[in-house]
Amino acid sequence: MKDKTKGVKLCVKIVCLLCLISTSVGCLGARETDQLAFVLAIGFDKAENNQQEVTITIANTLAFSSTGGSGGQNAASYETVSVKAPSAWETGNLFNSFNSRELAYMHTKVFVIGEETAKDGIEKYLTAVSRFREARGNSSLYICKGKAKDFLMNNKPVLETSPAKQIELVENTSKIIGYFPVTTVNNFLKGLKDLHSSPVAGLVGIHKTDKDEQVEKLLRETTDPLQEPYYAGAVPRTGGNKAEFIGTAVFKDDKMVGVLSGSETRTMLLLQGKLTSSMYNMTDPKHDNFNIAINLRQARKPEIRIKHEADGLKIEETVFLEGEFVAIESGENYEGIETKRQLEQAFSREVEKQAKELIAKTKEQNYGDIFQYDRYYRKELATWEEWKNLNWKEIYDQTEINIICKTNIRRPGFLRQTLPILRAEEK
Amino acid sequence: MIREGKFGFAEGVSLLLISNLATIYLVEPSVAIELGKNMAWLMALFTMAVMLLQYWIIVSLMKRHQGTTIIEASEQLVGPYLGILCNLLFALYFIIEEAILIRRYGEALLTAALPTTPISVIMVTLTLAAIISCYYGLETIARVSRISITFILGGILILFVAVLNYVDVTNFYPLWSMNPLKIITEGQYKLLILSEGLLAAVIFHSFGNWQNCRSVGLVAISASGIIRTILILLLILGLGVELASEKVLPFFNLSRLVSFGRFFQRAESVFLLTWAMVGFLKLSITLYASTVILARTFRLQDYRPLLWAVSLLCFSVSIIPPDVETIGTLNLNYFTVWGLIPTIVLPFLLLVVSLVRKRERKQEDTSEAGNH
Repeated sequence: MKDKTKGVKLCVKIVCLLCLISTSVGCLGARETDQLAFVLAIGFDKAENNQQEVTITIANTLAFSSTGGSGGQNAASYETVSVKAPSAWETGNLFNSFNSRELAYMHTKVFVIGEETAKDGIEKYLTAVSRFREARGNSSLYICKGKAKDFLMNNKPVLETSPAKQIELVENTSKIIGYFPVTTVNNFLKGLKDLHSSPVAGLVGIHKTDKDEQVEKLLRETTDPLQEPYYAGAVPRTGGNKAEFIGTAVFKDDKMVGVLSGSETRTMLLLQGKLTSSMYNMTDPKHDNFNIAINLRQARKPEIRIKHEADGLKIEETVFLEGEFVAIESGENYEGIETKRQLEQAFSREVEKQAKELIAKTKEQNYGDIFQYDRYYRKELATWEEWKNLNWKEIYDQTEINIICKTNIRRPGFLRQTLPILRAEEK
Repeated sequence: MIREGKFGFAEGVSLLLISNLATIYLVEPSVAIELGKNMAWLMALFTMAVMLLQYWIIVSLMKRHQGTTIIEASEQLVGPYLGILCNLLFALYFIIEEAILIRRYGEALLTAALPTTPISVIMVTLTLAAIISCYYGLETIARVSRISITFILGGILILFVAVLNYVDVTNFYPLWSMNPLKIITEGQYKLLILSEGLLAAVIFHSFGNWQNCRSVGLVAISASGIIRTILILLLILGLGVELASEKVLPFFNLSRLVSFGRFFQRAESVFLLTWAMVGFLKLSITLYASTVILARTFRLQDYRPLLWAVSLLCFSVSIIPPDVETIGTLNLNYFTVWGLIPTIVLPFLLLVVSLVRKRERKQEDTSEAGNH
């Protein structure tokens, strides 16, 4: 009897072990990396005859392999292809009609949406990204001046092997220059669904090699170094990667309604409290032919006060900038306490003027509130219903907004004063 | 006599805390935000207070019947027929809870991590894990809970700290935006269900004494309530009311936000492990409770022979709903509402009967003493 029980126990143990062994081979849905084509970037465009055109950039994992087998090291590190179909999601199937590997979206770093598509509304694309298990809400979102397909096809990063790394590093430069906002799918949806203000997204474009009338016009008209009127695709330059990241696409609900230039974007980020740092250039107040360069960062979050006055709502925002001199071309002694204070005040007035102009532009062009002042106006409300039914656009258009800039140039750099050239002084 | 073993304060807290935390990984936080908007965090605090009150009622009942569990107590109080009916209702509650949880956890794992695995494979795995745990007994489950709670709480804490970066405090406003009465009447009651009170009354012997049972439950429910409140607060401040209300697995969505620099990203699989731990333990505890209630009701010497039958019943019930939406609706519109009967109404009625009986007995004793 004892032997029989022992035998049954042994059988049970063997069955359990076999079950364990069978599970150790991996889950049923396991996919090896050499079975997958990792999509790094996706572009959405409108095509003719009501078709959608989707462009994808796929990483070539062979190019990154250390062994270099199958000539992998000489292969291009990525491939960009596009497909047209009546539905953007149908293109996913068509990609696999000429691709040996299953498309995987877990490493998709960026979604680029063409200008025309953005003008028609982008919510349908973004909610699909939110819903889809593989896609990530913290992937970047950019609007392309022109077609997303052109951007992805012509984007040839010179310093990076992978466009995903390129995007990550380019986004770091936004923290240094402040000429484009870094927007993720989640951020955009949050602005779109949770706020009444107008959502924004970073603007990208492809540099035009032939002479562009618009660029020429901007070059002729730009005299103030504090203004940077360029936007993606219109930066006056020669050489380098054709892809450009500068400017902002402004949305009304989910439809694109306009663009902001580089310096306007910087002002927007400053008023939103999201400007990390930027190099500001201004004309020397004492010498018109010379410029001053100051590296400034947002010292702390802006102070925003909302006042209900007899003549209507008033918003007063104080922004704080601090930093150091980079260049004083004229050699004027701005390092001194009094002269520095005068310069700081002159600079602050210039920033306030820029902010005022941008606010006026948003009202004239009917952009709505791109600074998200409604986030602060929430405190004034009592119920959720009030917040839900708020006509913020109308309130914003009628509100007087005053911007106060406080600049503190804390350090002169490595020079404590600029002495004149000796012979020049003798003359 | 069913031997359940005894465990200490830490094991007891871990067991009840894990059991109470199980729903934060599912859709419940989203539902709470949908109902309470930006005041959902206050709703979570209110829920915690009501749960503490529910637990207090059950402990007060058990205080009067210290040598027994709620199964024997109900028979003593309302007689064998009504008592058995009462106990069958308790068992039915845990069986349905187990069935719903198997399906919901299965669907959640499928949605988040194993999209091509058949649902039946996941559900069988979950059920088998629960059977094996129950076979080893309550003491083992409690000790495993004690070991796991460090990782579970650690994971939750790390997540909470990691998403602080995404917090926007303006999402907190408009303050006091919702009418509390309206929230309660429109659906707060769906979030009030507490199975841990009944569970504690079923495994009352294992706590040693009623004071230990009381403090274990109060600590576990308070800790769980605070974690739930912080989670809801972070969802509101991090994602915003509208976006957070849309999510099927808000905890998982929050963990997908975690990112430190270029290298520490996609950490949700780490949090998925803590989530799976809680799921497995919750299913084991619930299966144990349902089986033990039946065994005690039918005066069986051991609950183990019932494990296969009860788990098969749970599995069969769980596979009936055709889709996630149906199981969600069944859970929120029916189970959480009707479940209030065995978890709070019946224990409260039993407490009332116990109080009345005691008073009657006292009166009888005084009249007998007067006659003498």
